[in-house]
Amino acid sequence: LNGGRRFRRLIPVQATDEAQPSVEIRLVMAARSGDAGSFEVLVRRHIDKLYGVARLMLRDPDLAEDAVQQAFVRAWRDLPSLRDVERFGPWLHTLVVRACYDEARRSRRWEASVRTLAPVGELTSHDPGLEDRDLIERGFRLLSPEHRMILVLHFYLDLSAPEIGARLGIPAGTARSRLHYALAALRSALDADARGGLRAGGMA
Amino acid sequence: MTEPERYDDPALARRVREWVTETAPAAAPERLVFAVMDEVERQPRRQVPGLGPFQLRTLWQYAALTLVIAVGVAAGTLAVRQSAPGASPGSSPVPTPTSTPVALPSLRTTAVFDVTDVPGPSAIGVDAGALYVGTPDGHVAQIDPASGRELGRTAIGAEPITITPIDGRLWVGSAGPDLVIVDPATHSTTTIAGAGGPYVLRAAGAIWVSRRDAFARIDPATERVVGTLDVPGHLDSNPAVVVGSDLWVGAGEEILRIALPGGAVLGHIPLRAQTLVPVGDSVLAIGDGTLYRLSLSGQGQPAVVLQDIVSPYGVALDGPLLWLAEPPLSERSPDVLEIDVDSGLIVSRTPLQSGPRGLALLGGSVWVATDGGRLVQLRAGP
Repeated sequence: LNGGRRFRRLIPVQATDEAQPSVEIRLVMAARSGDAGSFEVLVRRHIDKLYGVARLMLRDPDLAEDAVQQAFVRAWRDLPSLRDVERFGPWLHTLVVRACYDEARRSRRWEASVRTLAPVGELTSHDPGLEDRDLIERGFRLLSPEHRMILVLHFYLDLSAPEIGARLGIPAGTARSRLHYALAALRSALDADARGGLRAGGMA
Repeated sequence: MTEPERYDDPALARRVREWVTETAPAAAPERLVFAVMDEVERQPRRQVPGLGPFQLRTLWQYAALTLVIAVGVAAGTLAVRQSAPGASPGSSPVPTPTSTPVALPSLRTTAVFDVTDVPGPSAIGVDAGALYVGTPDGHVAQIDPASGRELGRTAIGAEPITITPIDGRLWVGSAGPDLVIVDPATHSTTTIAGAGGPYVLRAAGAIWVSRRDAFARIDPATERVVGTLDVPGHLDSNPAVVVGSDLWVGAGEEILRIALPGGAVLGHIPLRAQTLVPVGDSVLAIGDGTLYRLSLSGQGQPAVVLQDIVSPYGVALDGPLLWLAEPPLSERSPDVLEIDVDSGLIVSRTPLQSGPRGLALLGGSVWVATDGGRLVQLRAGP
């Protein structure tokens, strides 16, 4: 069913080469001095990963696009005050995290989307993998924005607890415990689902 | 990843990783790039400031600035703000991409004192030329800044968090239930039962001690608690400063500006602050990884001074120069930063060998208490 999607995932989202860091730094320096063309190159280099973070966290393409746009606009506006150009990428992560929180707070649409989910019984496929992904999806939607974000940063961006802490502005130990509690909350949601107790509105 | 995580439920972690991989979008829609760039081209752009007029208060500050300019001239630029690729992290950028990036100057470490029997000094304070550090085992130790020798030690009963000199005595903020005042001349103490809290402030003829959701008001003459100022949402760890007769205090997602002693709330600033520093006609705030400047009226948007700042474990102000002791990030070492808050430029950056616990300025030096029981003296110089 998802063969096309799997195939597309094999295509590198972001080109990598030996010279990338210095190219990136030169682009950031040019952009911070006002070169919109360089900034557009940076946008294209980073937008796929940031959009992935926003889509996974917010579960809504429109909200995700708003969050990514908000993050890049703020990056352009505040780039002259960025302390280390070497940390442009991690800083973008921080900006998109904040933008996702803003979108989650501003909108209740993610809660509404929980109510519109199809009941388990309506699934026509007997693909165990698909059913498991559907279970995870339903449990994930019931998590708090903070728990969803830490799971996305860890499992999608492959960030360690100290790296997540740096992006969220929290100590590494706090990031690690938040990851622990996010997985525990997801486990609880899955258990509730298995007992047939999953309802709209969900967990706090 | 720098290190593998250990999961309580590895099977669930694997399922989440597979689900993320399967459901993540392969790419952002092309229209999003266009939408971003359309919006970007409509945005006003913050300009990179030049080096502002410095208040050179000490010889070593002059030396630091001279070094900055000398390096800048040698590199063909006057505004030296950027490290080269591969140079030490923590530098800040050149305004023009054609300039040759060079590293920022670091201050020279002139002394590293091992504070005897102190595994990790928890607080640092200065008063009348003397240096004091708190110890995790509940003492305040007086240190001779010339020799690093410990001159005396006073038992507090709880780990000090702040040491605030008021009228020749040290008011020691802590997580303990009681507030302790130390007379450094005699090492005697006065305990105000039930008045403990991490931050001690003086304003409107009273001493104010931060508590959860409140401040205790203490009459300095009788040294008794005479009232309570309710500040809902204020946590012990939220910052608080006094500006004139106003209390600026972190309370959850916002900063409150409160008139003392009455307690009227004069303003709400929607910013989660981890640090507040009064400076001249404004207040500096650090939150969400950003250094902001707030107007004293509390009106208008917070102005961004510098991005990508870690909430510091020590801060001090000298004229327009803000000194921060930053804890380490996974990608960079703990640093002492010297920031010109008028221009938003980093004047110097000094890596530390271990994480900071507190920072103070004394005798033309920067003093940093660090993990491992060390007291580090930083001074500009060749």
